[in-house]
Amino acid sequence: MTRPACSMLWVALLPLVGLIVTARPAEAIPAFAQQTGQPCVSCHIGGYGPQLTPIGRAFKIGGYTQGGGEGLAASIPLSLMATTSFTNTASAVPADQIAQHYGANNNFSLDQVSGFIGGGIGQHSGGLMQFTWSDVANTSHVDNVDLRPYTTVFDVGGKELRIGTTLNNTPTVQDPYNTTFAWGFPYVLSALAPAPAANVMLAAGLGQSAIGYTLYAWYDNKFYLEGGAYSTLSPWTLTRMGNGFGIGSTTSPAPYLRAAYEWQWGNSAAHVGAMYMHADVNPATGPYATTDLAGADHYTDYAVDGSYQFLGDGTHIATVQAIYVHENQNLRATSSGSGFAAKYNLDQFRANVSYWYQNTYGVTLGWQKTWGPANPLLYAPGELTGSNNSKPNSNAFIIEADWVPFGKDTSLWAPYMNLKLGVQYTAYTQFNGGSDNYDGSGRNASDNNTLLVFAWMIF
Amino acid sequence: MPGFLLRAAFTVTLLTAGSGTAFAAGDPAAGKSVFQSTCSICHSVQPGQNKIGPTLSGVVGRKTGSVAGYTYSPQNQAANLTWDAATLDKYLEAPRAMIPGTKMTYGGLKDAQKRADLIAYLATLK
Repeated sequence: MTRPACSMLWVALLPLVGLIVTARPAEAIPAFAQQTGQPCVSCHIGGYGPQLTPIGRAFKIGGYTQGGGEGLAASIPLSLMATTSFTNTASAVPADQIAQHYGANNNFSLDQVSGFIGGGIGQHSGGLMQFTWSDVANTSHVDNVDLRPYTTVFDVGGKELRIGTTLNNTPTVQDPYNTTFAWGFPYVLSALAPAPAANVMLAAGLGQSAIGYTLYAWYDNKFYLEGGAYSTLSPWTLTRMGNGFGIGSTTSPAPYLRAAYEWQWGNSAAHVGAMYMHADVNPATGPYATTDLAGADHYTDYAVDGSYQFLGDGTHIATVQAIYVHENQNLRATSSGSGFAAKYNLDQFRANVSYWYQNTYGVTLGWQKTWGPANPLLYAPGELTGSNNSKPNSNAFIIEADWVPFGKDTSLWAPYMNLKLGVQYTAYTQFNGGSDNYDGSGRNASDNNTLLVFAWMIF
Repeated sequence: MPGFLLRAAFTVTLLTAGSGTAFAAGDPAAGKSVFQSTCSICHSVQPGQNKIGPTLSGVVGRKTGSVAGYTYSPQNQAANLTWDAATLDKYLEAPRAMIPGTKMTYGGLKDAQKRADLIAYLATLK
């Protein structure tokens, strides 16, 4: 097998990897509540992470350094999280695609158990590190990492200017807005249900396989500007961290830019923003291998996003979030010797609206649409996870109902524990390029409609 | 006695005069540290600069719910209190116990000495 053909096979297999690593809740840790003396509802919509309120954004941009809690618990930066769920898909997955130790459908699973180290060290440094074990994949890995080596505040013209640095392992994991991908809706995903194959680089291309180093500025609590780059880690390091390459290994630092402007008035907040990222990568030929024999592939993402939050007095809360990404792909290396064209594009739109009553009862409606031209390099036919017409198109509607009985300042055992119980239903009208027989093996998009019932606990 | 100690003693004297309540002596320098570690995420000390919470410039001696340009909760606006050493001490210990419905979600500063230090610092913000 030639190296480019090998890399095409690996790309075709990526959705299989995605099947076992897509459950990704985090960043609502009681260690932060203990450190700050604030209940979960101060920083999180619905009293449970990861969707941030203005205070939550300020805490994150502030480098997780804010204190205020007292006693021994305030200085213990450790938390533990577990997510367990029941997954039903409209049609069972084919027999040869069943996850080990699970059935073809109607599975109960222990999706993940995570340990966290999170908090501030003095007034200038802080961070969050998550380590996760999944019973579905029966693997453990270094999950989300967002470190803030140094941040400080200046007075500029009577306004506050915060400058900070980050070291992180996933593009957007450090972003303060939940329109972006690392902490975007849906905040819980089934670890067993099929997921669409196509995703933009910002969402999945370099996640947990790179180190990001960025510098940011936040002026007058309004204007946020961040710039930096990402470089993939070595196979040796990735092996030990339990993470594999996504789209490949970077041949040079991949630039990352983010700008946003936020308004806060009355009991409301809103923002508009934009992002840019470009990466030159040697395509992946396996979890820990890439090839440079045919040069590099090139990905460029442009994104615009916006959100609105009505916080009221905490009785009625409503949010709207949206992001659109356009990606240009020049797959020169992957296309080499294949006879296929090298240049493609991919578009993705994600939006959701949520309503919460007393930060306890919530409902969220989401819409995710991905589209682009046929791309036989990345999307080949294949049972369940492939695309018969090689198109990336998917269209999903998501509805989720949640109950968060804790997380308030008067809650039982506050702030030492929290719990979210939820029911989520995802309906696909398109999946991997089609509605009917999308994979060339007779499966329809609606066969992947997923019911997820979950319990998400954190201590 | 060094100048800063004289100022601290003066501040505490001012804050406690006439209140009829005994408070621990507050150190404005220590209070500034408490402010930076505990309050600065939501509050500025610059006049006219509201963040998630209202500016704390001139907070000692002003009425509750009175900062221009800041949207208070109805309960805070209706509290009709003057922020002095006694009211601040009670509020900072348990904000929602004193003014249920206040937007300040912080659980409270339980350490009496830290509260005294913080109040002494707030008194310097004119």
